[in-house]
Amino acid sequence: MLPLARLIFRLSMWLPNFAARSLRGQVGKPHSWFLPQSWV
Amino acid sequence: MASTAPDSLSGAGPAPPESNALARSYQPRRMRAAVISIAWNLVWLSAFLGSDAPEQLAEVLPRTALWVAPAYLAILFGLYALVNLPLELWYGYLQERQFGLVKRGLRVWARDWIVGNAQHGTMFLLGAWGILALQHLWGAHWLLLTSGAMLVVFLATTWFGAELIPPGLFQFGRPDSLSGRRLQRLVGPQHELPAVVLFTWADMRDFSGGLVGLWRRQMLLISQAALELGSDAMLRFVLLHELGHRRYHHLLLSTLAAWGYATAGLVFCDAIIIRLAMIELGSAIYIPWLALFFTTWMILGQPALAYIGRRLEYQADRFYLDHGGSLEEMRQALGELSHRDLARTDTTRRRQSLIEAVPIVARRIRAAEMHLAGRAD
Repeated sequence: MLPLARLIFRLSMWLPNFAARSLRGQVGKPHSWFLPQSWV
Repeated sequence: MASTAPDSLSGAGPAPPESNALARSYQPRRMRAAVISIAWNLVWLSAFLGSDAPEQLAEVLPRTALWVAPAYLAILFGLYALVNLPLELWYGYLQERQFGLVKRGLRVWARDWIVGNAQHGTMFLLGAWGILALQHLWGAHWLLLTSGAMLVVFLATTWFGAELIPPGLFQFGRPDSLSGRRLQRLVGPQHELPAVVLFTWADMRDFSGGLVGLWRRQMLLISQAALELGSDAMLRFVLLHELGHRRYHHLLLSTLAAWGYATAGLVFCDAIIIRLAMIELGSAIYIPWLALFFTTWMILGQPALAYIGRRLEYQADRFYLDHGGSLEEMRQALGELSHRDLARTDTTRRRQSLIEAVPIVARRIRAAEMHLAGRAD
């Protein structure tokens, strides 16, 4: 699953984006910051 | 304990959506965590910029020398990581543990947190320092050059998506020949699957994965749990859905959209920073101001980005339906997935559509029904 918003936040981690992890709903889940995630 | 939830849910059979009670408890916590975390980051960053801390920090370090910018940026990122640590520990470990969705053990979480922050921190440092360097070297043309450099970075890091997964977070492997044949049989001989890579950690229960990489480097990640415990119906749905993403080049399009939105954000933020905050180009203080406005830019864009993301999911679902999938199988697959991953299946979480890039299960089923009805006409 490749939700657009998740990819955008992963890519925008290059920029000073301090909401990146929160906006993907992955607060405090470091194993999921760099991967496509659940299919639902 | 983490083991109780997965054990009670380990059946691979489809579950009726209305029985998904654990998800009703889990999903609102995710939403709350996201909202509190976003608010917290805006508050501390505003307080930081409202105080004289940025100036004092910059005065300790010589303002314009290129070599001190990384030190300033490292302090800034360290501050970000530290002020987020309590929230991330609470929501990301202590709460997730109750649902069996994290690796077991605080030490393991701490190690992943360090690895994750090291990679995010490296990206942040390189990106932010690159912006300052281009401002120094090219003055008024920095935005144009930054935009071009970002396109290269975004495409390259999507291209090498699989290689850039931080080491140590997962164990990776290839499916054995029996599993490989099973996957090919499920999609049928007319479809060519990209290289399949399995990933897992001890006790991992999620059914998850997706495409990473571009063109010939594109591969399909599938969690080991999904392959071993998932039904044929679920795997067939997931595989054909992912082939839909591949067919419509969603990864490339998403990367270009990310680049476009980020570039527009830089232009927007720069206009505000120069006009309102009167910060000079190339000053390290530019970066925390950019962080504040760029974060806001991303929050403002999230509803639209999530909406477009959901459209991509619907399109991939239609690919599945048009290539041998059936509504009944899709219903079964989504029931199984949502039960396993604690996704809400009903339509009551309207607020989440502001932030969620994956459609609610009930809406996916409804969209599939409409698609099939349209096709029948």
